[in-house]
Amino acid sequence: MIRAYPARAFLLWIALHAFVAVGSGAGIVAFSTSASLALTVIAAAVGFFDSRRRHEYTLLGNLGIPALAPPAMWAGTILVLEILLRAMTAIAGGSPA
Amino acid sequence: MLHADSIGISFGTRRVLSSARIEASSGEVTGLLGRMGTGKSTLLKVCAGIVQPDSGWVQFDGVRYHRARRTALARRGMFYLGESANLASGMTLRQHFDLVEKRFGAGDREGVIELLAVSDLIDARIESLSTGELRRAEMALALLRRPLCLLADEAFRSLDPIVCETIGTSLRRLAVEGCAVVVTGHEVETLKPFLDSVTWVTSGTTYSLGNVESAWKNERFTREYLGALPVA
Repeated sequence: MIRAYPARAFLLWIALHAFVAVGSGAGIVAFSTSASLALTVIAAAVGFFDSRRRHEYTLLGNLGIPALAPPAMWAGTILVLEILLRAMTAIAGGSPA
Repeated sequence: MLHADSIGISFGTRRVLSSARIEASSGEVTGLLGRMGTGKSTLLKVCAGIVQPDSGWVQFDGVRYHRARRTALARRGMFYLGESANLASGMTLRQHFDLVEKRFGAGDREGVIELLAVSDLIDARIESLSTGELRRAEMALALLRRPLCLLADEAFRSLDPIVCETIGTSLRRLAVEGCAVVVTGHEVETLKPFLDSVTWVTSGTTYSLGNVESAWKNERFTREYLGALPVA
């Protein structure tokens, strides 16, 4: 269950960047800093509501895992992916969208 | 094992509990009884660290908490079963068992499966289970965890008599193994054979009524909650 959070966040990140790439026709691009931070906050909210929808909070509580774990793991995954993409874009000589 | 005292809590302008107290001992099943809306579930949530009270404290396994944290209590052996949504919907019972055993060590999985008759449910997804199956699955997980204290809210609600018996037997088994069990519910005649003691929640406070026999002889409890005159 815990390992599923980064995987789900990764899928969201891929889907979002693919959507933006297709929409803009510019390929995969790194977002601006503010857009990346906004995406991280949104990911945390998605993580919170996704775990609530799956009725995971009582189980997490009984396992002694903080309720903040799902949103934190979603947000952390997105943040790391955004930083990696920015680094790769910088190395390739591009600039954030 | 579990002792909460002077618990006061309000939701908005509504004072739910003003000075509630509960004590649950190892090896005993305590019934937390009272009319709807008197704060039984809230008191259980305070004891589990899910809701923070405005006043009072919770003592569990020798440690006193003025702000009991759910994670700390769960790690020490507190297990909470709410009215619903206790198991993750996208997972199977086997996956739940694996998580609990990975976290807290191996339990008597085969014994639990047999006692709760959940062998047919072990690989079914939680959202496909009926109310009775779900309750048995939740109780199976609690038994596998071998908690020091189980808080079970409305454990018998909407269940067939035969499932009530299974759940009640499981509560007794946990108590025999040394667990302090607190259970709420309105199915008093069904609950009665499984209880060792009764705490009555009313008007924002609690009354420890002793064992079942003395509770059922308590005139005020009988008049204001059971709704019938005590049998002579």
